[in-house]
This record gives sequence, C-alpha cells and structure tokens, in this order.
Amino acid sequence: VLIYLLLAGTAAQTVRATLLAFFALSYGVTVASHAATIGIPGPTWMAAGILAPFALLGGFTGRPIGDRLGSDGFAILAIALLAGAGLYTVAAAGVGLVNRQP
Amino acid sequence: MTLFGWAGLAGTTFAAALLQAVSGFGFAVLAVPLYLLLVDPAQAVQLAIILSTALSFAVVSGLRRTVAPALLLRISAGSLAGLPIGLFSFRYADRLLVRLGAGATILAFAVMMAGFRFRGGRPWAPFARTQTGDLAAGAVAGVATALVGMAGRRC
Repeated sequence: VLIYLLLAGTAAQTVRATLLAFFALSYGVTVASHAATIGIPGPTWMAAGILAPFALLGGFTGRPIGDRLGSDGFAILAIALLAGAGLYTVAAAGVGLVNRQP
Repeated sequence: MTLFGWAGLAGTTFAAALLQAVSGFGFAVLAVPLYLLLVDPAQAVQLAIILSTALSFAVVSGLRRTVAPALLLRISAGSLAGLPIGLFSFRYADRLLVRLGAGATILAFAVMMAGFRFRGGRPWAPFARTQTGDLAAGAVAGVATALVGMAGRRC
C-alpha cells in the first residue's frame, strides 16, 4: 500500500494518516483473530499493558514531528524504512533457506 | 524477565512508536526484530500487533481530518478480498521463497525510488491513483498479510 501510494504521488499527510487508520483496522482484526483462534496468553496481555504507556508516549511525541515533516522528509524516511525492511526480510529469508534441512 | 530486559522492551516500544507516529508505519519493522532478542517469537509478534493496534488508534484519532475515507475503505475492502487468496496460497507456497521474493521486491522499489529522487531531484510518481488501483493495492496487502505476515509496506 505504501509503495503504491508513494508511486501515485499521494500527499504525505494523507499517506501517513490513512496508513495509520488502515493499521488500526487491520491489526485490530488480527488481534481479535489471534485471541479467538490460537489465543493470547495472560502474560502477553500483562506485558502489553506494561509497555502500552511507552507506546503511547512514543506516539504522542512523534505525532507533532510527523505533522511538521514535509513531503520530501516523509518520502526519504519512507524509502529508508522500505529499504531497511526489504534488506531485513531478504536476510532473514536467506538465513532460513541456508539453514533449512533438505 | 530482568530489569534490563524490561528496559530493552520499553525503549524498543518507545522508539518504534515514535517512528510509526512520524511516518504512519514501521512499528513492527523496528519492534519485532528487537523483541525477538528478549522474548519468544510468538510473544514478540503478539506484543507487536497489540501495541501497534493501540498506538494506531491513539495517534489516528488526532489525524482524522487527513485520513482519506474513500481510499481507506477501498484498501480495506481489497485487503479483505485478498486475505482468503493469501490463506489458500499459504498452504502450498514455500514461505521462505515468498519472503525472499517479497523482500527483494520491496528493496528493488526502495532503490528505484531513491535513485529517481536523488538523481532527478523529484519524486518518482509514474501513475495516478485510481479506484481500481486502490482496491488492487489493498488486495495485494491482504495476500501478503496471510502469506508473510505484514500488511502495509508490501504492495
């Protein structure tokens, strides 16, 4: 979705807000499906509860920074994150393939 | 868990949340690999999705005016449509090869976009958004979610 929106020249603030809303919906469904199928253990909920204030603090600290980020800054950050994510995914898959039993 | 471990989880969570609030995505990209150093894989993934959900709801509430509702609706609908295709493919596809292909595709697009930006001095925007394109991007995200576990950045 991010690559599509960047290639279509969508405004940075629209991409950011719409992606956040998309994640809220899609991860919300994922949490519900985990809870309903494989289950989420009590200690995981407890750890999430302990860590939630740090997530909210990071979120509320980052929001005004994102508001001030221009379209160039947003695009550079997005491209850097995509490159990092792509490299990590390739490396993790490569290690998995090398270590795979025949 | 030791105090050091909790400090690591808290610091990772803060940094990943900051990144996601600034850019709109990236919590799982940063958090999951670092969580994996401190907790088992199942807990790392579940922590990331619970915290990312809470964070996204909290941050997006202040950005409601800039959300594009029609775009959100179409990528969500496309994603829902793509999910069963991904789940079906999940049974037959080689997950490591799929991850390798997905990672290489993301990396290739990142390199191309960076190349155009730094050589041409302007963003590479070869097409305009369309309703069909929105739905298709959502569908690819849905397939990727089921196949390799993450939605937003895959397509």
